[in-house]
Amino acid sequence: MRVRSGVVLYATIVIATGLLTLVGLLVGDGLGLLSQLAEPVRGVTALLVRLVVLVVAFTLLIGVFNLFYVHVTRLVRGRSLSARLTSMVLLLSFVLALVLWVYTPESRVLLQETQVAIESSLAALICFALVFGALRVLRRRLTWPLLLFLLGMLVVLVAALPLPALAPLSPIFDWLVTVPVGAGARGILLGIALATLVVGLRVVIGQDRTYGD
Amino acid sequence: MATELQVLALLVVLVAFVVTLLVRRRRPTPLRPIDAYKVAPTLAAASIEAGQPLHIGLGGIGPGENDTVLALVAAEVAYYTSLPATVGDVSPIYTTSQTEMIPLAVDTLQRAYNARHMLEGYHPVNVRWYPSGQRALAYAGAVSTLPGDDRLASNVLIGRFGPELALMLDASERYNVPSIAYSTELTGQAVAYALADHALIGDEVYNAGAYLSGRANLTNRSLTLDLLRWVLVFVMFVLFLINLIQQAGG
Repeated sequence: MRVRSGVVLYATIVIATGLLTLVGLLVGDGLGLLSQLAEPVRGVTALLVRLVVLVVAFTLLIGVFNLFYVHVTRLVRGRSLSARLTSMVLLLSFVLALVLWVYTPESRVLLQETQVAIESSLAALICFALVFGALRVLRRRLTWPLLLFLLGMLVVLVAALPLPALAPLSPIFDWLVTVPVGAGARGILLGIALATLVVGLRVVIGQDRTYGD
Repeated sequence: MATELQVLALLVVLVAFVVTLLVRRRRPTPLRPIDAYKVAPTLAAASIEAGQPLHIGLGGIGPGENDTVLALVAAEVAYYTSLPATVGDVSPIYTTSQTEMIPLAVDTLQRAYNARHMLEGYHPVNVRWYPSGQRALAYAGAVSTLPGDDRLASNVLIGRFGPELALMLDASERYNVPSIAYSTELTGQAVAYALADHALIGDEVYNAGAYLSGRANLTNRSLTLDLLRWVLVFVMFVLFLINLIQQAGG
C-alpha cells in the first residue's frame, strides 16, 4: 500500500498537537502523579492556544482580501445584473467605511445608523418568514411528527396569550414546556455533545482525516 | 477545574476512546435512511444539468472556536456534496460568516476539484465571506440574495443559525431552490424542520461522511456513536435506579 508523505505529515502534526492540547486542558491540579506528568505539557498547551488566537486574528486580513477580491470579480463577471449591483453597493460601502474611518474615526454613521437599522428591519421580517413557514408545514403531506410539531407550536402560542380564562391551564402549559419539551431539547443537546466528542477524538487519534487525504 | 469534574471528563474521554478503538469494521455497515442524505447526491447532478451553482452556507462556525468539530464536519458535508458538481461548468459556491472558516472552505473546494483532477475549474472566488454583523442578520440577508442573484440550483445550510435561518430558507422557497438545513442551535433546528425541504436534526450531521461517502472508517464513526449512545442510556438508567433505591431506603 502506497502512503503519501503529505498525509503522514498532516496526521503526525494533528495527532501530536491534538493529544498535547487534550492532555494539557483535561489534566489540571489535584490528580497526583498524573498532574505532575502533565505539568510540562500545560505550558505547550497554553502556547498552542495562544497560537490559535493569533492565527484567528490573522484570518481577518484574509477575510477583507476575500471580500474585496470576490466582489470586484462579481462586479465584472456577475451572473445577473442584480448580482453586479449588490457587489457594487458592497464595494462602495467598503470604500466609504474606509474613508470615514481614516478621516473621522469616531463616526459611527455607517455602522450604528445604517447597518443596525437595516438589521432591525430584517429581524422584523423574520416573523413573517416564520408564519409563512407554519403555513408551508400545513400544505405539506401531514405526518405524525409534523402533526406533533404543529400541536406543540399551537400550545406554546396559546400559552403566550394574556387571557385570564387560560390562567387555570398555565400549570399544564408549564409542565409541557418543562418536562417533555425540556427532555427532548436535552436529548438533542446530549446527542450533539456525544457526537462532538466522538468526532473530535477520532480526528485527534487519526482515525478520521477530515483535513485531507 | 474541580477534581470530580476532571475525573469524570477523563473517564468519559477514556470510554469514548476505548469504544472508538473497538469499532474497526473493514466493510461499511447499513445505515438507517435519512431523507437529506438521500437527496444530497442528486443536488450536484441538478446543478450540472441546469448549469446553476450549488450553494453551501457555512455560517457562524469556524475552526478555533467552540464549533471547531462542527466546522470540520460541515467541511466534510461540503466536500462530498460538491465533489460530483466539480465536473460541471459552474462551480459550487461556499459562503461563511467567520473569517477563520475561509481557509478551511478554500481548501475543501480545492480538494474536491483536485480529487476529480479538475483543478483548472477551481477558482477561489467561489468561497465568499459575508461578515455576520451584530445579530448574524447581515449574513442571512446576504445569503437571501443568492438564489436570485446567482441563480442557485440548490441550497445547503449548515452552521450556527437562529431564527434568521427563516429568511434564508424563505428566499430558497421563493425561487424554488431545494434546501437542506442544519443548525446547532435548537431554535435554528426548529426553523429548519418547518421551513427546509430536508432538515438534519441533532447529531445527524455528524454522520454525513458515512452517508455521503460510504467509506468504512466513516461508517465506524456512526457505529461508535450508536454504541456510546446506548452506553449513555444504560448509565442514565442505572443512575435513575440508584436514585430510586436511595429514596426508598431513606
